Amino acid sequence: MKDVPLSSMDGIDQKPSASRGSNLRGAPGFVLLVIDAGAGPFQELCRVVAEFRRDLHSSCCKVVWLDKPTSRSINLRSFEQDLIDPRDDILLKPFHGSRLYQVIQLLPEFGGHGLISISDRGSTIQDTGALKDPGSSSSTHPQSTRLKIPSTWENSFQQVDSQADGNSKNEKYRKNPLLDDPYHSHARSKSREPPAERLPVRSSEIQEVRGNVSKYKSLSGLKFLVADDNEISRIVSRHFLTGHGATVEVCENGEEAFQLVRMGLHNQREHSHSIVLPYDYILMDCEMPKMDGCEATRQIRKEEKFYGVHIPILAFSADNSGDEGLCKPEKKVVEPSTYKEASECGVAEGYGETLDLVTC
Amino acid sequence: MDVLSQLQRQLADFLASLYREGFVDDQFTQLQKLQDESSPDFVMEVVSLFFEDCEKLVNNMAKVLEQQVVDFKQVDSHVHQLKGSSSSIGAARIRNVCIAFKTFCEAQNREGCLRCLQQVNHEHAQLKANLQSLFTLERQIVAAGGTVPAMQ
Repeated sequence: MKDVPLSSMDGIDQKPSASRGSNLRGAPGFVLLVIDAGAGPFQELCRVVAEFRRDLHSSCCKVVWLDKPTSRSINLRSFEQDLIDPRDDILLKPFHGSRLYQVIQLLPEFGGHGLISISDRGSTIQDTGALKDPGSSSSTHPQSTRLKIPSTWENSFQQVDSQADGNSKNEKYRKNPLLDDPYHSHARSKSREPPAERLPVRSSEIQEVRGNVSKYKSLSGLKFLVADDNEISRIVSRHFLTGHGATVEVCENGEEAFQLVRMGLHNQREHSHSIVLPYDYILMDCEMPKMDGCEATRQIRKEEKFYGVHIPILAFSADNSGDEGLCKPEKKVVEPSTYKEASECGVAEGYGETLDLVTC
Repeated sequence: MDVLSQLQRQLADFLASLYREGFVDDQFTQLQKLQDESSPDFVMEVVSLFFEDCEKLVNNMAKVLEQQVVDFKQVDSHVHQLKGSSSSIGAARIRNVCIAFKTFCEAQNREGCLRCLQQVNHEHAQLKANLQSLFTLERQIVAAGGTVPAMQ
């Protein structure tokens, strides 16, 4: 097959879903190709795809063409459409939110029947208008692209479902292994690596279009690190965050927080693609023994420089004395709306920066 | 009005008064909102933990304050813990006593510290009694077939 430079957008490679399928149980042979219709001369793309299909023999293969709304490579009722297999679909970019959701649902692992079209032949999936472009908010997270999927799907991606831990009725909080052994909790984060490439998707966008997402949780898919020397405070924070769908790790002081982040970043080296942040947010208590929140933040920022990443750190303090040498005080439990707003406006970045400015 | 509605009204009124009188604050409301089918006893469990912790801290502080030479830094560190815990669960009055308590620690004022310690004990007992009444009411509501309402 002649090499065609198929472009990857936002970190998606044109990998057939068979390789994704190897992580999932008993998926039938089905290959899903998501191709940027503008990646090369369209006829050439079609030719390559046709060859690929011929070589597949028995497996099913479906193509989803992504086309740019403002400069279409595939014009309706023109010769390009004739080149496309009638079972293929055309989607308009950007490939996110409900569109991504619908494409994923084509996969047998997610209940799809493969060759069934997303839409009627000849029409394309339109922007509902309710979707927000994640481009602006995700631009502050250049390295942290991830697929935010409804929590029911998490098991397929081998994520540690710490919601199960947090909500276990028989769990005695004092004996929580994660509280006693913060390093053990880090080991679990390694197994969290999802196999597939990921896209910046806000679960809120999926919710707006697909009303049947079960139990919408505002912090779904987000990974938190809570650093707090107060046990009850840790328990409350953890419960609060997991109750809103997040995955939570805890630790007791700044030193542990720093080590967790350091190891989380260090273990990325094995992967050739962009860095997956070990945490989406860090909740940092200002006053802790061994190493306080401000010092820990300083250390974390130094470490992050090697990777060119930046994890938002939200500081809180039981002490609202307003000493300008301290971190910005927060309520002990921060509303989920704050996180959402924080992430969407980049304010979370601001919190991290404030911490840096005030103390470093 | 049937029994269930009566109980629910009672609970709402009781919660409102606790809030009004400063026993609990918005943090407590947030905690209650978190309670669901998967963790129906969360508030009760974490509140129990808090009271245990509070007792332990008060005992430790009493011992330190009894010494010939008082280590105010130690007392302060205990107060800080108590302040953090009480903030986390929304025990507003106890948290407020801790604020005053800290000032006395910084001023190395033993008398002031002892007074605050007494106040903490007092508030602890009151809150415990109040929350026990609250949980009893909640249990009665659940027994009568209702669900526990959260305060608006």
